Amino acid sequence: MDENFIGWLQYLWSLMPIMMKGFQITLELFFKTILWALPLGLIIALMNISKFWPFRAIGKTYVWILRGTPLLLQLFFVYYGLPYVPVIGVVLDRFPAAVLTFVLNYSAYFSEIFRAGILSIEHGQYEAARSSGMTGFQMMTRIILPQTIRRVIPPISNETITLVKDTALVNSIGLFELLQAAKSSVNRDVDATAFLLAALFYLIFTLVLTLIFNAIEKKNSKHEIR
Amino acid sequence: MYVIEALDIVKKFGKNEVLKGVTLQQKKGEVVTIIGPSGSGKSTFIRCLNKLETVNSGTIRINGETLVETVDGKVQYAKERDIRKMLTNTGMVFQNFNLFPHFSVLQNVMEFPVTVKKQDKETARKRALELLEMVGLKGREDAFPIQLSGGQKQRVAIARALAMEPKVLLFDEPTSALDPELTVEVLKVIKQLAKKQMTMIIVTHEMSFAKEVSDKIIFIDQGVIAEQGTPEEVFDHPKSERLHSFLQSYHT
Repeated sequence: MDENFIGWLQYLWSLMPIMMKGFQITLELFFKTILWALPLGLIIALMNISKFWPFRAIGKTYVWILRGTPLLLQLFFVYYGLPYVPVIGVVLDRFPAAVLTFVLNYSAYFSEIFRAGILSIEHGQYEAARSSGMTGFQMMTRIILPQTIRRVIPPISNETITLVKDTALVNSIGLFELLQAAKSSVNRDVDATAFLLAALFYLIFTLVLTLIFNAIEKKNSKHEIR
Repeated sequence: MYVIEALDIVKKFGKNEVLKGVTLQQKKGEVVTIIGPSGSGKSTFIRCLNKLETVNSGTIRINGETLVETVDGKVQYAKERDIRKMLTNTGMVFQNFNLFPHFSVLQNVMEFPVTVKKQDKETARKRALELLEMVGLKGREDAFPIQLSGGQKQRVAIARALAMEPKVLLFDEPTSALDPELTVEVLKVIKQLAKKQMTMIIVTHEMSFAKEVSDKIIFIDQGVIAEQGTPEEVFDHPKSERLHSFLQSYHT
């Protein structure tokens, strides 16, 4: 085999430790965001369809602000800006600042997906539940939300794949992660290989997520609907 | 005592008064069928009985308990908790079935007793299987609603309503979404229930079925009871011109 190619493979292999380290941070950020943003998004969605107007006011404002401003600005605000805010004035480390920002931002998007999902459930489902004497809580937990969750899996999966790529934005507050690992290697070695390797990591990650979501969709589709 | 007592029910949608004082008193074991042209208010009336619509005035008692009453022109509904308890006495069968698509047939029938009445699952299961056999769906308990025909769906819906052991069953055009063939199998089940002295209120366009199954026919037109009586009185000797021409439209 060509000697240059073997040399390149060896170089590629030598990049693996630092890339893995970066990828680990990316993964951690991803999973913590999903873990908190999904339930928070559901709560915001329920506030947004509440009959109690102050809940709606809070929910709508929340979504408006977090969907209406750049994620990058939110990241800067939480990491660089919060220390100067009177009263609150907290200084967060890079990683917690990143998680907090992503959870807030993604919960806003998830909440809109959940809200649309809940509103897509036929009126007759509510009537059947109501007319049997179910409480509002029973109706939501037994009838409405289980159907909602099945229906929102495609848009949630779409948003989740966007999140994988958005994690790279934390590079801008100097948090070490996959992209940063690649960038530092490229700068040090004057060689673009690390960027290709990073791309490969993202591609494999999103591919795995796509396969998982497809499997879930397939499993659910047998009960669906109409 | 009446199972259902609805006195002088008025219901408006905005400015449009769809019910202009409808009264129904129904004894145990009676089958009452409500007929009338589309938009006459018959579905709205039956939906008031289990609070799917709220009334603008009038009194409704279910099994002697007051769901809503009007005192000095003010409409007062019972407490939310008491209403939920009353609703367990009124089973509803809808035009569009409204089965729960994420539950199997068996789960659909078990859901209300287990969740609302806190019945233990084994008891609910046994009862559900009996009811499914009664409506002719033995062996389909593990199917999902999407796998059923319209007629089968509606028979599951009837079993689901019966599982709560209601004092009265309300049918809101139960066969209007079905082909004539499938209509027959659903009507058969309802006739069977009538034979067993199940108290029922049925809104329907199936005139020969209504004639066969009912103790009393109510003809609602433009928000009022235009005529009522036994099937013979209403179908064979209609007094009013409106009823006469309404019935004519079914014979052409």
